[in-house]
Amino acid sequence: MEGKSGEKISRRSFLKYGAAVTVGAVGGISVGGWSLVRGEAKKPILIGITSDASGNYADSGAAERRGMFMAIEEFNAKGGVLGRKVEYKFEDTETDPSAASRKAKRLIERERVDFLIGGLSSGCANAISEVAQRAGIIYFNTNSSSDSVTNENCHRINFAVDANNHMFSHAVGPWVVKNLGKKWYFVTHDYTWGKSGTADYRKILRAEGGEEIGEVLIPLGTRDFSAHLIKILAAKPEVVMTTVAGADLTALLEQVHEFGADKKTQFCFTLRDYPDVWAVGPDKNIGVFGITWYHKLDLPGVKDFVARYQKRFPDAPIPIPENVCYNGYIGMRELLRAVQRAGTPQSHAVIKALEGWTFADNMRHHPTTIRDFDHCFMQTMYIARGKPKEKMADKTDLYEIIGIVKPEDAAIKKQDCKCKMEPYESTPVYWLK
Amino acid sequence: MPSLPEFLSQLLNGLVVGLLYALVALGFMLILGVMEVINFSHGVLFAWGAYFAFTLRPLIGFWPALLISPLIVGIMGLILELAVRRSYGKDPLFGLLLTYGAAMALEEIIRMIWGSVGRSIAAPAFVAGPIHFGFMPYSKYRLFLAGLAILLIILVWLFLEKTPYGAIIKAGAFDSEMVMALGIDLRKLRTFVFGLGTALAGIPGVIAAPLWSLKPTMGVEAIMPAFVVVLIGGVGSFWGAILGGLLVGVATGISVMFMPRTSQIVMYILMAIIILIRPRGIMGEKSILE
Repeated sequence: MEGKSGEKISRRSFLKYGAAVTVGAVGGISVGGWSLVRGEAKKPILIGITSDASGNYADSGAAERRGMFMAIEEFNAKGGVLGRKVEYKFEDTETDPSAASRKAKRLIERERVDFLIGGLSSGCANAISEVAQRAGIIYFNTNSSSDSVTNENCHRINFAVDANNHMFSHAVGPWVVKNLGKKWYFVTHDYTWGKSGTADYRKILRAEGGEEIGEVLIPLGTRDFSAHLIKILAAKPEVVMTTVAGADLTALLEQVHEFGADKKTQFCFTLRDYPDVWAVGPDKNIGVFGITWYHKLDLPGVKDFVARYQKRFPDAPIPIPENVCYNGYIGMRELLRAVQRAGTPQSHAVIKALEGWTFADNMRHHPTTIRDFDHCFMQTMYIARGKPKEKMADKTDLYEIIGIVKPEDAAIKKQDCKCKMEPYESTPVYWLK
Repeated sequence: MPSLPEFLSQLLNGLVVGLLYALVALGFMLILGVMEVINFSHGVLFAWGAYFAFTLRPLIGFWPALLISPLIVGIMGLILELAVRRSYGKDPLFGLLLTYGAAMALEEIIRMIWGSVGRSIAAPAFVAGPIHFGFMPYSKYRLFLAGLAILLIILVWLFLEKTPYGAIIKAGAFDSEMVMALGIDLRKLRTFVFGLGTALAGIPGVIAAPLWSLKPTMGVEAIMPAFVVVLIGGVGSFWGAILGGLLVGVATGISVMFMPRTSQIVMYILMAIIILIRPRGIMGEKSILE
């Protein structure tokens, strides 16, 4: 045998290294075998996190992951779930449905995760949901809001934590028509979520006797809204109902302010994710919008949650937990609680433990029920306005709550819902023993 | 049918945005024309200009940041040129690949320093807010930006046309062998042009930052229009780049009036049409792209 430098490997060194390798191998096999013998109790529960770390929703992706990590750590501090430590594997879905599909498959087939959680872009959430149903693995869609994910595209394994566009539009729409104006112009983010938001608001506008005077579609990744704003202002609407989010919304708010467009008409937003507004600051925090949670709600548990967040993430880019982070936290927490209740991570048992479950420790005005026929989390809805600078209690106090809506009043009624979930018999059982 | 006030506003806005595109394309075109290098890192250097302004402006104010950021970007360009010079005279694909790799690395470094989170920088106070034209509000800052862009374009033109250095640069683009034979140090010339070209990427980065807000991928959004503008206007032509920029800006604005969904691809359609009619671009000269 020849070594690198051309010398022969001496018998002594061969024996030395050979002995070391043998000891190592024997040790490794015995430890591994020992844990096999000890059984499932040692194996952690592995959560697959599908979240955006790049693309339009990168900032919100980071926010929702912070919430998820908090929930995992809280469970582990209390001994884990069913005596097993909770661990996670994270894949960047890049705010792109084809990437989301790939990463979800990788988490299922290669990383062998027990559950999938995480989603901001509805396009990604739809894609992941399809992949998950085929494997039978449970998927918690934490933050996307398109209606189709829990309507015509619903799946037995899919659970939606955030409110969907139907809920936002039914919470905010009637208030806006009554208080701000009947002549609306729509600004639509050109993909499934944006279109579903505009479609919902259109129905409400018509029902309330309003008038649509135009619509403009904004492709994902639009930087310059100047031409669109000029077009919108030329039409002289009373209300500009905007379904745009992420980095594009940040740019839009900048430019609305730049053109003074908010002085000429009322800007309303289907929903507002706090990270998008945090980026622009209080001067450009304009409009009326729907939200699902706010860190200054005067409810039990809120102050404590905020304090725990600040202790855990002292250097986070956003110094308080906000609605995106909240959804990540609540989603992860309820998933783990359901596994605990079911007594097993077997997918059918966990789904049954989730359907119809109601919890009141949700830091909102009304308890949340996970509906059995569409797997929506029934969230209390809030109508909010950008808070004027003079009234802000501190630099994070960006919202003024102007209305509270019960979840049942805003959510789609069962008879209108087109969700036809796969029966248990045709949903594969997912259980990594 | 859009009204006259809307049409005029879109035209004005198109020209303003077009001037910005022209400025970005200018530096790209300089490097392409003189050194026959397709500098794909041009976009990310635009982003670096913006990020430097973001960091420096609170410390030293708007005008000093406008002067210093492009200088730093120019120095980065000079360092980059040390690597790029290995690709001179070879297949232009080598230069493109090298600068593309540099672009990706530089974008990652932006993320490492400033994070992936989007950032916002306000327009300087003296030009913040809207201006009212009677029929339409418009952004004061955009008008200011347009004025700045026109000034810079004139300065670059004066440099190229009226100074001996400009003459040398243009000669170097036309016939590098002759320039060498005349005793001019081609290596120094190329280094200088690369630095100038990249500094010309940093400047629009500084002035576009309040407009388009900052994110690590903003470079990609600058390089594509730059490429398209150069192809439309023609490689090697100063006024071609300006004209190309204005055409792209106005075309995008007009498309929003009639077919907003095409606004992002209209520049590519325009490019395809022009290249079909005149493959060298409107005012182009023979270049490595042939």
